[in-house]
Amino acid sequence: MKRIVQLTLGIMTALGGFVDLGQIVFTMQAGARFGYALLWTIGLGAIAIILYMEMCGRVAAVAHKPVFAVVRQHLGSRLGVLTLVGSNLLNLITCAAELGAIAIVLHLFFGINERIALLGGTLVLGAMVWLLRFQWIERTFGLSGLTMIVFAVAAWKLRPDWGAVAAGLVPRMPGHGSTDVLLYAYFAVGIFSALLMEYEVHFYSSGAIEEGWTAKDLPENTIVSTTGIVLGSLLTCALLILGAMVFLPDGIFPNQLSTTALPVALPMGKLALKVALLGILACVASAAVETALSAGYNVCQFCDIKWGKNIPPKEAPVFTALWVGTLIVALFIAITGIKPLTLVNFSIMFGMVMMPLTYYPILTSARDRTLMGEHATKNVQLILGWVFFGVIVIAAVAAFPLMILTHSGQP
Amino acid sequence: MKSVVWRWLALALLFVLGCSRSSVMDHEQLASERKQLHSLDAETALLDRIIATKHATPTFVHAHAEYLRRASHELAQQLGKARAAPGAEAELERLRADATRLEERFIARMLL
Repeated sequence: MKRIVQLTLGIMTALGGFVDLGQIVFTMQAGARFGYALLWTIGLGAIAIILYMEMCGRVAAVAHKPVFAVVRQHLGSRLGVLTLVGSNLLNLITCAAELGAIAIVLHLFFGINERIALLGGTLVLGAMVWLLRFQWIERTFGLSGLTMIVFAVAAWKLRPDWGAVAAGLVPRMPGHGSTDVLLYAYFAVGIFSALLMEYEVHFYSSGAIEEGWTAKDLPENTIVSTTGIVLGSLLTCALLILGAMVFLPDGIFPNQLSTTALPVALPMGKLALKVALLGILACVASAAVETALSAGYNVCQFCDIKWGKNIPPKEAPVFTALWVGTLIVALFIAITGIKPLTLVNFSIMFGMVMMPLTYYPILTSARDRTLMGEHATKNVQLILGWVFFGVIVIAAVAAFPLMILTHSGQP
Repeated sequence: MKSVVWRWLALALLFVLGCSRSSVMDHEQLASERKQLHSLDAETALLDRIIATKHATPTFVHAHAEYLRRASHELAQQLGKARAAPGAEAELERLRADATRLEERFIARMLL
């Protein structure tokens, strides 16, 4: 019984913690611009993240190696340092965007000044991470993220044309000139990248080590990573459907975070709007915490320094200084007034460029028989892993050119 | 290592160039600005529908309207600074007038 409760909690946490600012923005904008036509990218991204998250959880459980330990081993020191610097820069930018989003949501909820909300929000977040153990951090934010389900309920209530929704799961090119094709490709890459953001696997793999996973926990790893992500992806689909149903007919392109809550308010009213805002708050707060902690995890794992949220801060001073420092620097970036949506646009494309350097070491470690023994990646999963790695490389090469050509996806 | 740094700097420069729009606007760019203007206008109408049905809290409505006003102000400023490519002067003038009208509507709404 205890096992089932733990498993259910794990799935719910994975579901609640799956969506972040990048997904909210990119999927709603994609729906507003192309209707259901980009739903297939959510399916593609979901399969890829299930594969890679399962792999990094397995490597952590069997070989007790987190992501950045395998990055150092497989990429060597030079490329490894480049990956580390790039990943932590990405964590910093993403964290700043999420903190900025927290301030916006608090402003929308209570009407308090954005800067005060930013300072207060960051302080509360920092205190929570300082005081709570890893498991409780994960559960608190993950479970409160479940309030995002209100978006799925709103999508259901608006009665979408399910035939058209299903047709969106099959890739097809838009037929209105080169600008549309470029924008379509930009949003396809953006959604794919948002689903595969590196900090998610850094955090998941570090969490597996924090919680002391062993080979016995492999079934839990498979069930949690698969079910949690499938359900989280359905939620992401709901965001795209809402964008297509509420914004597309009126020609609205959601460029404000506040706009993304409107599709819930429209069919369901005030209470649902409040729940939606709570959901967004939980998602962005969760992502801010995960990126800050990941910055500490990455450096310590790469340099083989003692780390962990479940040990007293005094015993892991570098790790503690790194996550606290990331939160503080991110706060300074956010306080300059840079729009969170501008930051998240950049972080998603930059994340895509960096992605092959994170996922290649995971793929090669998970199939390594000397490291993983009988738990090494088997044939079908390995082939799929390489196929998706190819997709990741193509998307990484295309990311910045598409960003430049489409002026960051402006319609 | 130096060459790596230069490559990253070049990439950053390209990014900045990519994200910024040229101040000389041709028909294609003006069409894009027109879409943004239309989007803001339509969003205001959507907000009005939500207000009419009392589906949003006053705090949310006020804050969201302020974000929309800021966006329309930025758009009006951007268009104010822009120069038109040959043949696109009249279109730019029309857009400027529409953007100013939209911003004024937002200001009037905030004063209510």
